[in-house]
Amino acid sequence: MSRSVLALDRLAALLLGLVLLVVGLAAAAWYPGWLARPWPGVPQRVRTGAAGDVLAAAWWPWAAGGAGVVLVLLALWWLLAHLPRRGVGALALPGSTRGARLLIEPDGAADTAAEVLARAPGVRSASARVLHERGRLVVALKATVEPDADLAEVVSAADAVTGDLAHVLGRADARARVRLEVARSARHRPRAR
Amino acid sequence: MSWSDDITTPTGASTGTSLSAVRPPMPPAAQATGSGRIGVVGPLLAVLLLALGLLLGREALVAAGALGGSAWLPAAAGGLDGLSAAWWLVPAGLAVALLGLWLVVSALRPRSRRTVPLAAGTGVFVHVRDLARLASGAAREVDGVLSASSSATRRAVTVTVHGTGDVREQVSAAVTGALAPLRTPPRVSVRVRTGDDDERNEP
Repeated sequence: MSRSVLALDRLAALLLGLVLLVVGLAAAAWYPGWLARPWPGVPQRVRTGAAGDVLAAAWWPWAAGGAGVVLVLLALWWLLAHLPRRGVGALALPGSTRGARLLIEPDGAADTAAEVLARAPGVRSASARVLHERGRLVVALKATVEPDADLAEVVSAADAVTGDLAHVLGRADARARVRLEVARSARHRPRAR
Repeated sequence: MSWSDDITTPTGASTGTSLSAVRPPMPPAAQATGSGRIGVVGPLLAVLLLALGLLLGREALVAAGALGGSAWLPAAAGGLDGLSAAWWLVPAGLAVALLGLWLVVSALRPRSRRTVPLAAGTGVFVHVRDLARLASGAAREVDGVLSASSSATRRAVTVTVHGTGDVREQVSAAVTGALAPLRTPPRVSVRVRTGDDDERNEP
């Protein structure tokens, strides 16, 4: 989910929240008569005659239909924008020219990095994704480690693997994030107490 | 393709063998943050907007005579017409206001940051929940510990162990050592329960 979609979520929640807060407090303050203090001309009854006139107007079906289509399209875009980001496509490598472009599928290299990381001591499994994040190329590795893993060893393996990956990708703008998840229970291994 | 294969890169260099640690690690990416409550509220609002759009579309089709049935919006407007202040508006209004307040708080709440960084050249992070699992794993390795459970925050880890004796120091040292690679190691506190305690707690 991008930052702009998150900002839209926040803005919509804030606006709807403020509207509900004001309407709810006004409704609660109406019966005890407290609403008359900030609003001396508060009506005794709700009048929806004007709304009825709008709903009966000849242009209403067209307006409602148009607004409905716009809202449905906007809502579908909004929903789809929440789907997880997809990976990036082929990347141009240093040395590419206009006539001969050297491309690399970063997912393959990242998958290989994950395989290597998975072979490090204490690491049970690993996976990788390559994303565009805030204008940067980000390799997101996820590794599941044993509960008794030596974190220092895992860290040095992660440093080495990402170093190799940076070399293979040949991209100075690439960044890495390795997320360690810890398995709930250790695999049974022969041990003596 | 294996990482340990001798791969020639576009720069002409060989990738060499795995885990050599000779090359500088890839610079770290920014720490991932969870979207928190707004991550659920946003899609929910999108669904509500979709429902509103479909409602307006239905009203348009009914008003144009393309769809059977009666229009809902005029009926709702008619139902509200003439409504006067009534006692039930107090709890209903307060409920609506509370929902609004919850939405405002959700909108303004900062993104959740539930991972902690490790001291690494690249960006290595572990979730706070996993700190507790690491602490329990380290505690279980200590001689005399029968079982261990832990809870963790970003700054502190509490380990509760069932042991055959006073293993507090050993468990504390083991857990502290296990979490030392964190950039800011958390405070470690240990609670030890022995068989004697369990017998004393039994009714």
